[in-house]
This record gives sequence, structure tokens and C-alpha cells, in this order.
Amino acid sequence: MRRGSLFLKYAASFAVLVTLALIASGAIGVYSNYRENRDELLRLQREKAGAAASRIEAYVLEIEHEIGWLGMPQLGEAGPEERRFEYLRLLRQVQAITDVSQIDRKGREQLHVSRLSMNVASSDADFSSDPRVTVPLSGKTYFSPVYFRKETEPYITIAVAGSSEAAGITVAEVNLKFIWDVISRIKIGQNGLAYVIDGRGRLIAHPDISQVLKNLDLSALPQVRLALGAKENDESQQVSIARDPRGREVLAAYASIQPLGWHVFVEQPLKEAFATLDASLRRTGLLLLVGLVSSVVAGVFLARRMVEPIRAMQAGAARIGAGQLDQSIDVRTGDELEGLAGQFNSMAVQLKESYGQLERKVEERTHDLRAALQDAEVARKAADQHSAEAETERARAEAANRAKSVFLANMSHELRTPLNAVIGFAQLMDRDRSLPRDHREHLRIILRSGEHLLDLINDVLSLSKIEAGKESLSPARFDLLPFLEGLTEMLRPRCEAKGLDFVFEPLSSPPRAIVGDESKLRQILINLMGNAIKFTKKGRVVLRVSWSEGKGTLEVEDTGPGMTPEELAKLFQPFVQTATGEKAKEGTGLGLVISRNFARLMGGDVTVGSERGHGSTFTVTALLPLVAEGESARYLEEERTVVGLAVGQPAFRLLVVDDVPENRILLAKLLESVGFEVRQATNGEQAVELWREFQPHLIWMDMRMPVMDGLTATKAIREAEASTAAGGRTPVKVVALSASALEHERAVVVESGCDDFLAKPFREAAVFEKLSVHLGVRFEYEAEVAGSAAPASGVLTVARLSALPSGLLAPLRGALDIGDDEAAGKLVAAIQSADPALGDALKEAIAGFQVDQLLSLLEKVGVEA
Amino acid sequence: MKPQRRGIVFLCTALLAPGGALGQKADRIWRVGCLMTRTRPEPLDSSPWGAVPATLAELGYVEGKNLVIEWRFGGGDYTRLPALADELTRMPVDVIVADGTPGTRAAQGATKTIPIVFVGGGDVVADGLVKSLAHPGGNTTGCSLLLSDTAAKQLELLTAWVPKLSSVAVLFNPAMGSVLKGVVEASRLRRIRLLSFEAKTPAEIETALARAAAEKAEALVWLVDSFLFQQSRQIAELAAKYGLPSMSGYPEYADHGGLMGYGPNRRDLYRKAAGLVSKILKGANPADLPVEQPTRIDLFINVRTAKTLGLTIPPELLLQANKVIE
Repeated sequence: MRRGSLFLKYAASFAVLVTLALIASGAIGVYSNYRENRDELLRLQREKAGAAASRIEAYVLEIEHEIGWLGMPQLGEAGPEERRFEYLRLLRQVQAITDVSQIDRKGREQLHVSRLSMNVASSDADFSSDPRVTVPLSGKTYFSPVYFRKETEPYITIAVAGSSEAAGITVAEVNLKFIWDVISRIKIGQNGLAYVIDGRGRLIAHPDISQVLKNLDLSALPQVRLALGAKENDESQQVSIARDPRGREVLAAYASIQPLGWHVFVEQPLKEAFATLDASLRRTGLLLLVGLVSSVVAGVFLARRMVEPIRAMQAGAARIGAGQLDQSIDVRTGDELEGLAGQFNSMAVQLKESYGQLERKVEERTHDLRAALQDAEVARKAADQHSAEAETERARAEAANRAKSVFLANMSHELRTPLNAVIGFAQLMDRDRSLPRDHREHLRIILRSGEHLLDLINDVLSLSKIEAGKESLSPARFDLLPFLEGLTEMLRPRCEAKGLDFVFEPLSSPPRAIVGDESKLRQILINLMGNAIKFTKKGRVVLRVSWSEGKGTLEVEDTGPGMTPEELAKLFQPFVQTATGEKAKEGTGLGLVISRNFARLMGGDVTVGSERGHGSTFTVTALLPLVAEGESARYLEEERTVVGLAVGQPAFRLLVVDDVPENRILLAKLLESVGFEVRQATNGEQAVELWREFQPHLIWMDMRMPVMDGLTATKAIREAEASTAAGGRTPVKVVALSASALEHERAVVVESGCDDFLAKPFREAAVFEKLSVHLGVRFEYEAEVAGSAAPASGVLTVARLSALPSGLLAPLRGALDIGDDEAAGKLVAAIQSADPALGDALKEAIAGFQVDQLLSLLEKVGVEA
Repeated sequence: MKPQRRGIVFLCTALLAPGGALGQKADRIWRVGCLMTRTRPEPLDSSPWGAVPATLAELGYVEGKNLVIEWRFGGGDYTRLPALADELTRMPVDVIVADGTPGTRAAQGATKTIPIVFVGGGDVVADGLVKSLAHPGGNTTGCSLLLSDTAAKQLELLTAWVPKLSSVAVLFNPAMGSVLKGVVEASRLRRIRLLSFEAKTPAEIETALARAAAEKAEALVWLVDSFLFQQSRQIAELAAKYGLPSMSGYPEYADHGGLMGYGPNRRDLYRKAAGLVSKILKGANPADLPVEQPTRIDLFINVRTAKTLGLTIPPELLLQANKVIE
């Protein structure tokens, strides 16, 4: 299609051009031809009518003249015999006259000579009132209407008055058949004819006599009406296209015969009249067609001549494009096209040369490359084998690691649940002041062991979470310097207890509020500093801190045994301990791994520099950005021990739902101890039932339960609330409880209708805080209790404690924090020497297992300092 | 390229061919039967009937081209006419031209469908050949001879020769019928004694003329009839023998030795008949074609016969005569 397009374009445009020219000239030719032919035909027709009319007129006038001659004066004097002779002579001369008679001026017939009947003289018949007498007497020739003799013979009467009185009036009966002969002999083409009508529109002469005998009145025909209405000598409308009495379309022309008032019509069927015109139109059409055909042929021929070299060139260019460079384009038109073809050919030659050079170069390079490839192939095969092995190994290791992490996460969960109960109940029992002192000592051991175990499990869990990629930060605002000071105060006693120097080199201008995961940072530092204290026999432990532009750098330097490069290499691997660490038989071997991972979570790292015998320096870096400007600085509220509900509050009903009895009872007891009204449910179904019945203000909902889990129960409650919206009950608050430590669960539970989420194991303070947040519960705290319940021994106050030298308080706090009772005891003894009352109170508080309260009180002092 | 050119030539030829073919009419051979009562004249063209082929040729029907004329001659024997008419009908012909009342009757007896154009006859309505002159009806039309009208005129013309004519012998063929009536009326008007004689054979003609002479007839008129016309020379000789001035409705009688002939021009009549034939061949219905009347009435006078009879031509007749035979 595309190949032929140029050809088609040329051919079509040529044909169209010639066709348009032909059609235009043909149309003009046909039009003018038509006009000329038509005018000629009309003129001819008019002439024919005129000729016929003049012939008939001449004929009638001749007769009139002959008759008139009989009235000449010289004849008027003649006798009857003479007159008879003249009449016979007339009959002899004019065949059309059958009878001639003489009537005197009185209207009496004097003589009648006939061709057919016998002659009569002096019949004396009276014609005095007949128009044949009256009209001639008025000086005009009388032409009677047409009448018929013997039914079929048309006649008119012509009467002429003689010039003298004696001549009287000569009356002749004229047979009009002679006029018909005239009419019949008028040839109007093949089927045309002439006919005559009288002044009233009646047909009086027609080649077909039967038409006349029908006594036809043609005055209704348009052409006849036109002729009858025309004024004398007005010949402008003498030709028209009309219909004849039989309804055929005819070209009609007429001419008038003046003395008679007759009209001669000449009619020719239109088809015949225009036959020559049609023929010429046909000829023109045929010529046009021949012209069209020849223009198309010529167009095709010319277009082919023009397009062929272009096609040759196109094909040649295509061949060159396909790489057949030894082909040349053969175009010999002697014009620009040949020049173009030449350009193509020389281009092909040049291309061919270039290709030759290129191919040689490619050949050389290919040779080199092949050699190199062979060498590379050998190497690649070896490498492939190696990397495949490595890949398999890596995949296996990853799978194993992932399996381990999952196992650990599940395991730690399973371990924490019972441990939670152990610790919880130990704490609960610890609140019981009625226990004997030694039992309480045992309880403290149980608690410490439990807490150590919990730490261990937490470490394992953290690590598994880290390895499973599920550990995330819980950033919050905190003040860096008090945080660090608290930390150093906590650890300093341990240092000093081992006879080590503890040096804290704080940064010069610490930022006030920064954002970070305080607990993780604390865990890192306690871990690093704990290690430093643990492994250093003598010398010192230094904590250096610097902060700039949102990045904190914390260095823990010791003068410990240091590490060999081998040890350094294995340092951050889980469950691997250094030789020293192994000897110490302490720790989990997870601390550094967790620390490093936490640091990395915080956008930093933990690095180490160490040399055997020259101590170690661990450096922690973390992103600790400033709190945005304008945000009110809210410090972490210190934990205070709740001792009861504040007075003046309604009775709060709480529902604890958990399938594990230990957990459920623990929480219920805790809440009851404070003063809440508590009910318990062991699964979701019971929970929903109790919700209806008991109408709690808040539900502690465990998530994983048999029969109906917490999510389903919560949804059911929310739906029931929606349907029983009447009654205006405040929707119950639901706090989800889950041992699962995974953060993303929070979103799921909140979505299902829970108001909050509390991870197990939980701290008492967290439980009370949730109640405060969701129910607006106000609590009474221990300090207040202490202040109010024991005003006499009101020594254990922030003010009193603040008065103590800072070198005592911080170590005490550190000792209490890590549960180092021995150190605490020593410190309290030291305080006792400075402020005996306070020392006693402290001693009592520690002995009374009010360590928590004591710690919070100490923290307050630290903050205010 | 070559096949294309051939295609164009073919196309042009195909376009031109119908035009050429359309120019020619499909030829049809028309057959016209002419049933004549008399013997065939030689040459045919010398007789009035010769006007038939000549006129048809003028009107586009040419013998040997698109026209065949079947001539049938009864030889004066009217009994042969029906058989001849049948013969023409069986061919069949497209039109029959029939001569006189006997020919027309024979043709009408043979066919009710083939158009018949008659020439001659007396009062054709009275004789039952047509219903009326204007609307003949049936399959017959033609040209009448005005015989009954001219019969009276013949008596008048005879009085120009014999001013005190008192008795006239009338010879007629009884087969003609109606013609006699006009003569009888005219003779009464002129107070002329009429002696009538019938004749169907040459012998009867001889007998009739002998008797007319014996009964002192002063002149002889014989009425138009094909048989009598065939015997016109015999009649002329017998009239001369008995010294009777004689005349007939046939102007040609003067040619045959009779004193005078006055009547329609027959050649003119046959020309008219041919015109009617042409109209019928073109599709006209004879029932609608009015019977035509003769327009030319000729008077022929034989001067030699007048001299033989010792008569001189009256000037008024000389004035009227179309032909004077010396």
C-alpha cells in the first residue's frame, strides 16, 4: 500500500485535473450547444407555422380574389347567360368551390351554379337576413364558420359584394379539404403535424380528419389560449413547450391567418424535436467519457514514469539500509533523480569502505577478547562454585537464626508469665508488714532472683526482638544531665565499694530537654558501666559525655585488663563472653550485643577500643535531638507509691479478665488493696456477661483467652453498647493486657475498641496511671501518707534528705536501685552519723521494704538538686 | 498496457454501438390486399389503381422494401370475388382495399377483423357498407363516389348537347342498386322520360341498346358499375351505331369512345384510399376514419364522337371540360 501511494497520488491528481478541465469545458459546451440548438429549433418551428399560415392565407385570399373578380363592374352589366359562363369558368378554375351563386342586394338568389347538382336560375330564394348578404353589404368579405356537407366534407361560405349594384353579392361554397391537403403536406419532422383552429378555438383542419369531425374545442389548451389571447402581430409568445390534445409533450408554434381569424399550429413531439439536441448531448457525454478514460490512462502512464525511478531509488536505499552495499541504484532519467541516485551510490561506496575498516578492527579485538574470555571462564567457574556454596550456607544460617529468634520470643513469653506471678506475689507479700523479718528477707531474695531472671529473659527477648527486626524505640523527652547524674550516683557506690575511682566528666552546657528512649539509653550505660566496674580490679572508671547538634557521645573508659584483638573481634557476638567474663561467671553474654543494637536503633553505635593490659574504652553514640521549641517541657513524673484512693470520689467498679488465675488474682488483689470494687472473669464470654450485670467503669482485658478472646469480647461489648445506646451509659473503658511485647499489637487492640494497652508484666504505677487517665481516679500516695499518717516521724522528707551531702544520697539510690542491700546498709550507717533521725527512718524504710517509696523520694531530691 | 488499450477500445465500441443500432427501425413487411372487380389492366400504373402503390410509396410504404401488395382481379365476374377475398384473408393481409360495392361486400363477407378500405359504391350508408360517413363503425371505411349526386348532373350536361331532351335511356347493372334513384329524381324534375335497361352481360347490353334505339331514346346514360365500365368500349360503339349521344359517371368513358364522362377523379380517389391504408397501418381504427368524398370532379369530352354524331360542342361544356379528346 505504502509502495503504491506516490504512484496513486500522481495518477489521481493528474486524472482529477484533466477530468475537471474536461467536465468544465464539456458542461459549458453542452450548455451553449443546448441553447443554440433549442433556439434554432424554436425558430424553425416558428418559420414552419408562419409558412403554413401564409400558404393557407394565400389560398383563401386567392379564392376571395377570384370571387371578388366576379363582382367587377364590367361583369355587373352582363346578362344571366354570360354570368353563368363566368361561374362555370370559376368552377373550372377553382376546384375547391363546389357552388357559386349570385344574390342581389335585396337578398334574392338570382343564379346558382353547382358542380354536383343541377344549376338553378332565378330561384328567388330569400337570403336578405343571412350574414352572407349582410356582411358583404357592410363592405367586408364574409367568411362563414366551417360546416359539413355529407357529414364529412368541411365547407365555408365566402361572400363578396360586387362593386356595382347590379353585380350583387357573389357567394361561394368552398370545400376546405383543399386546405387539408395543404396542411397534410406540411412535413414537420417524422411525427410532427400542423393544424388549424378558428377564432373560437375549434379545430377546423387537421391531417387526421377524424379529429376535425369530432368537433374538437381546443381553446382549453394553453398554447391555443395563448394564441387566442394574443394581440394582432404580437409574435413574441409564438413558441412554447406544451401538450397536444393527446397529452404528449410537444414543441408548439403558431401563426395567425389574419382575415379569417384562424391560427395555424405546428407541433412536434418534444422527444423528436430535441432528438438532435439529445444526440449532441450524448456525443458530448461520450467524448467526455473518452476524455476521462484517456486522462486516467495518461495519468497512470505519466505517474508510472515519474514514480518508477523513485521506487528504484527507494528499493536501492532499502538494500543499502539492509547492508547490501555492493548494490548500486540504476536510475537514468537525466534529471535531479539521477543525481540523487548517484549520491546514494557514492554514499554506499563510502559506507562499504568504512565497514571494511571497522570489520578488520572488530576482528582483531574479537581475537583478543576471545583469549581473555577463555581465561575468565576458568576463573568464573571456580568462583561460581564458591559463591554457590556461600549462598547456600548463608541462607541456611539465616533460616536457623530466624528460627532461633522466634523460639526465643515464644520461650521468653512462656517464661515471663509464671515469673510475673512469682514476682508479683512476692511483692504483694512484701507489703504485708505482719510477716516475720527472716521471711521477708527470703522474700527479698525471691524478688531479687526473680528480677534477675526477668532481666535475663528481657535481655533474651530484646535480642530476639532485635534479631527478628521487631525492636523499636519509645522516644520521650528527658533531661540529659539529671539522667546521667542519677545514673552515676547509682553506680558510684559500687565503684567505691571496689576501691575504684569513678570520674564523671559531664558536658559543659547540657541541653535541657532532648528526645530519646531514656530506658534504652539507661540500659546501655548501666550495661557498659556495670561491665567496667565488674572487670576493673584497680584504677578508675570514667564516664565522658558530650553533645552537639542532636548527637550524644558517651564514653566509658576503664583501667581493666583490656582485650586481645581476638577477643575484640568476638566481642559483639551474642552468648560470647571474653575470657575474663567467663571467669566471672556472671552475665548473660548478651549485654553488649543488646547495647550495640539499641545504639544502632538510636542512629548511633557502640564501638570499643582496647588493648590487653591497658584497659578498654567503649564509646556510645546516639541521635538525641532537642525538643522542638515552644513545646512545654514536661518532665517525666516520678513514680510514687499509691497507698489508697483519694477521698470524695465515687466507688469505682473494675473488672479483671484473664484466663491465667495468677495474673488475674494478682491484678485484682492489687486493685482491691487500693480500694476499688473488683470482679474477675476467666474468659471473654464471662466478661461480657459481667459487663452487663456488674456495669464496671473499666475492664482490664487479657487478649489471649480460651472460649472467647479479649478482642472478640471487646467487640461484642462495643456492639451491645451501640445497640443499647439508650440509657446514656458512659461507655466502659477497656484496657487491653497482653504478655506479647510486640508494639504493633497496640494498633490492633485499639482498633477493636479498646481504649488503651498495657504490656505484661506491668508496673503498679502503670496500672494506676491508666486508671487515672481513663477514669480520672485520684490517688493518695505514700509520701502523703507518710506525711499525714506519721507526722511525728516526719523525717523522711525531701527537705531533710536534700540537706544530706550529695555524696551519700546518690550512692544510696544506686545501691537501692540495684538491690545492693549491703552497700545500702553501709550508706545508711554513714547517714546515721550525720543525721541520726533520718538514718533511723531510712533504716526502717529499707527494713520495711519501702524501697520503692524511698527511691522515688530520693529521685525527687536528685531532681530538685 | 496493451490489454488496457484494448479495454478502452471495447468500452468505446460498446457505448457507440447502441446509438447506431437505435438509429434503425426494426423492419416489418406490410401486406396490402387489393380486391379488384375487373380484369388486370396492363400496365397497372395506367389505371387509377396505380395510384395505390405510388401514394403508399410517398407515405413510406415501398413495394419490395417494406410492402407487398397482393392484387386480386375478379375479371368482372362478381361471383369470383368471395373466393378471392377469402384468399387474401387467409394470407393474411394487413388491409384489404376493395373496389366498388361488390368487392366491399365480398371482403366484408370474408373478414370482420381485417380492415377494409373501399373505393367506389353509391350510397354506401344506404347499401349498408358503413353505419355513417363520419363514423363508419366495424372494420370498413373508404372513399365514396357521390354517384347518386352526379347522376342528376349528367342529365343536365346532356341537355347542353340536346337542348330539348325528352327521353333518355338508362343502362344499369342491377347489382349496383341505389344509383338509379338520383337519375329517376332528376328526370322527373326535368320532365324527361326515362327508359331504363338492365344489363349483366355484353349480350344484354346489346339487346338493351337495340331496344333503346327502337323506343326512340334521344340519349343514353349508363350508371357506374365495374362490369359496365369494363364494357364501356362496347357501349360506346353501340351508342355510335344507334346515333345516341351517351355519357357516364366515369370521365374515362370519353377516352373509350363515349361522348362524355363526368364524375370523380378515380386516381384521386385511390390516392385518398392509399392515405387511409397508411393511417390504418400506422394503427388507426377504420371505425373512426370518416368516409371520404371525392373532391375532384372531372368532365371529359370526345370531340371525334361528337363529330360522328353530328354535334358541336356547346361552349359552356368546353369551358367546364377538364379533358377534350380530339
